Amino acid sequence: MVEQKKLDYISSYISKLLKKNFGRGPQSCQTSVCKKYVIAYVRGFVAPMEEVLLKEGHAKDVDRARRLIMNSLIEEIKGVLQVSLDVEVIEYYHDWNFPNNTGIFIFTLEKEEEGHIVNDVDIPKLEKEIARISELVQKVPDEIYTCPITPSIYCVERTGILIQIEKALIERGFEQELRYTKDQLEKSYFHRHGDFEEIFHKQVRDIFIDWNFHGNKSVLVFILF
Amino acid sequence: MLNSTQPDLLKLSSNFSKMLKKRFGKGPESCLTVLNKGRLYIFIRNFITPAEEVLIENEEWELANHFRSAVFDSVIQEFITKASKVLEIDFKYFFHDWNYSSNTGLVFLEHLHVDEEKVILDSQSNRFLKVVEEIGLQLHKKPEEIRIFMNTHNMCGIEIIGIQTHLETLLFKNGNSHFLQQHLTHIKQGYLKHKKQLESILNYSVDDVFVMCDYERNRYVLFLIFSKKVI
Repeated sequence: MVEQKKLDYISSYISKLLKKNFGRGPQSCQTSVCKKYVIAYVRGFVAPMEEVLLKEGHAKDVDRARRLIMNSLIEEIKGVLQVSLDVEVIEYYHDWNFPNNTGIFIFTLEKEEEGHIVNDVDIPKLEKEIARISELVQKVPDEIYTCPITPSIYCVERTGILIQIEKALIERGFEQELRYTKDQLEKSYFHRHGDFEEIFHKQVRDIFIDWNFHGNKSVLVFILF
Repeated sequence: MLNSTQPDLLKLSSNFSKMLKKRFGKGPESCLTVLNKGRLYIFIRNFITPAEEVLIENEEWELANHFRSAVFDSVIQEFITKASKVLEIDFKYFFHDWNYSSNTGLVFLEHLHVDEEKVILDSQSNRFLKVVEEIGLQLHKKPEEIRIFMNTHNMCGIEIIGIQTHLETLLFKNGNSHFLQQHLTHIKQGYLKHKKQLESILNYSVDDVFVMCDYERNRYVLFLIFSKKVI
């Protein structure tokens, strides 16, 4: 089990790093670890310069710039995680929900940390619902793996998600456009067509999705009230 | 510049720095405000924020420029009211240009009716304007008029009037600022390419070049900033 002190240090490090690079830190950053996932949930984070552009309706540019900046910061966070937890980080994801002013960093570790969450969620039913929504948008994933991180954070990994046209777009260098389009499309389907409140017995506060196109997989995180 | 306005200008510099810090998250290292013949100039040093640094490292110049322009336009709207009140000049127009390579920027505020004194040009200035015209011909439409409106030992301001093509006017009306900004960058690079030629006439070393476009009044404003070093 990872000590709370270490998790607090990681949360504080992320907050400071965001403040240094964006001019304003988040209201809160909460880091949790379970099995092979480290999740840092960030709330109340919009940089002053992003605020102006969002008001003017340039969400796509803000999204693009933030992805670029975060990709450069994430290596630093990865380093801190590796030193603090003494384990290699093999993959990372991040996603931002501008309307809710929230965001998430997801790190996949090389070996699993101890941890088990007691939950009353019907996991096969959750995975079935995720498969159904995925099919509405593109296809049923080849594999779905669910990991409850805390009673209010659920992480779901989908592998084998891309259809032929998406693979062709990625090969031709349209990754950025595809990511932006999929982000809007998948999130709207998961929010509007999913029956998740019944499955979780709780209201869903946030849904985050990011993709590893070259690994043909995606990670979804549900944040519950 | 009147001595009595010096404290006001210092106050405006400080206000401006604070506004930039609030909107960009990081203020500039220095901000110098100068009033000359009813025009206000703000020289800014070390303005690049860490977020912009990442965009520049990734060669996303257009995105960095877009971010800065959008945020800056909202900062200046607020500043223009303050500057007009403090200096009792009704500033109407504002322009800005940023050089990421030298980490410097120039903001230029103008009011509706500038009382121009007739500048009597010596042969050196005439020769200089002729060279500016020749360089300009390679970069944009032949201007209707070129004139120097500010000439000190620190900087030279040149107005290049009547330069817009119909296409540029249409692009401006339709709000295609991305394309126009790219075109303006191309023009600046063109003048920079001929820096040595300009320096040889002026006998000054040019540190910075800023180019701004006043689409409403169909003119470019070119600023050459001199270093203390005399050639």
